[in-house]
Amino acid sequence: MSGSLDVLVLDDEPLVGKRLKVVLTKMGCEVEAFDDPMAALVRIDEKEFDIVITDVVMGEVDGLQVLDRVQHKSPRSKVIIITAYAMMAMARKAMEKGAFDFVAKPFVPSEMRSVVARAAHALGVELETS
Amino acid sequence: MSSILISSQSFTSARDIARRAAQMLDYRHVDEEVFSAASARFDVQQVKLREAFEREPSMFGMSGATRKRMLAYLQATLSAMLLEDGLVYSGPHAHALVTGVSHVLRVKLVASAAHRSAAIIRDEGLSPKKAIRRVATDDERARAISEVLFGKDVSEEGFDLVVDVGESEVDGAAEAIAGAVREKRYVPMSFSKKVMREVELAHRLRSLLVDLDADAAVEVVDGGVNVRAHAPGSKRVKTAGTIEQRLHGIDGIEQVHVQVFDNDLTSAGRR
Repeated sequence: MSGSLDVLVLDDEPLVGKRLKVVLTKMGCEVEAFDDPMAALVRIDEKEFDIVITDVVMGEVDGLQVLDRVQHKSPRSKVIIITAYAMMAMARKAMEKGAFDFVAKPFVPSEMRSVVARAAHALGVELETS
Repeated sequence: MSSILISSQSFTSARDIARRAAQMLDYRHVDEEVFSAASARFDVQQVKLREAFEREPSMFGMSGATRKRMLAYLQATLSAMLLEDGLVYSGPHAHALVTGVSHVLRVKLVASAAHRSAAIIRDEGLSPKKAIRRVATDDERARAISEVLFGKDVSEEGFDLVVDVGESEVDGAAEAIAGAVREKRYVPMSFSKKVMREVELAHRLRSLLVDLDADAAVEVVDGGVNVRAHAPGSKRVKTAGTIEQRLHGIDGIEQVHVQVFDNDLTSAGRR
């Protein structure tokens, strides 16, 4: 099955969300980007996203809390954690909590396209990665 | 798929347990293959590699520098094998050979002295008294070798899972390992695969430098390579140049930062 996916991107560095939005929109995703974690949580409560891409370290709310909230709201959603502070213990914790993938920054667009395509595939949707 | 490194105390049926776990998971089990691959790749006798990991350090035995060179060769070989998932390796100090990769489960097999002594009596026909002494000797030798290879005793640290073979026997121990590695936290992810590639590159590069300095340390992060080595004061510049030359043009390296410290000063500091 081919089609479009609703993706939420959350990173307190606005440039990351902006760039990911461009990359993922080209893949055919409908992307909403947030740099304010609280605003993103409100949106997650309102809408069921297929894929959520979230940073970990963001001040008052961390990415693992976002993961919990998404899983509570929509267990089928795939959550991809991105972080510049990647550590083995954190990565294991994220996977244990049910993250779909854990990606260390910096990453290149092709890496994220590939991860999102795999998440889409797991949801039964085929996306172009090129 | 994840991978598994299994260290063990002597006489804990490690090979049988590792094979059984691999069978349960449909993984590939290796032990001797790692030594033979390292022997072929680095053109060193397999018996020398074995000696570095199994023979007690002694004044007239293999030097610490040679042991560390053998360690570097084995680490480079094993980490290359771990680039493919689904591997179970059981061998001496296995858990300490490749570290920091979240999808590589590090296991230690232990058993009580009584259980191990009983195995020695059964397998080697020793008396109970000699069997107990053998257990103590084996443990002491493992600690001494660890001190030389890693600069510390790694026999009690760095595990994700410790399995008491005495309580669980072969099938039970294998099931405990297979069950653990199926946990979500050990699932390979983009980050852990990247770390595995970096660890492999670091070990590969170190294997190219250990003849210059057995304690040379190599770290790879995001294509950047940091090398820390030691040389006598008069040879520091030349050694740094040699290191840069050896690492030049290797795939996956974007930048190299070499630091060569003065051996003489380091030694003086230790006195």
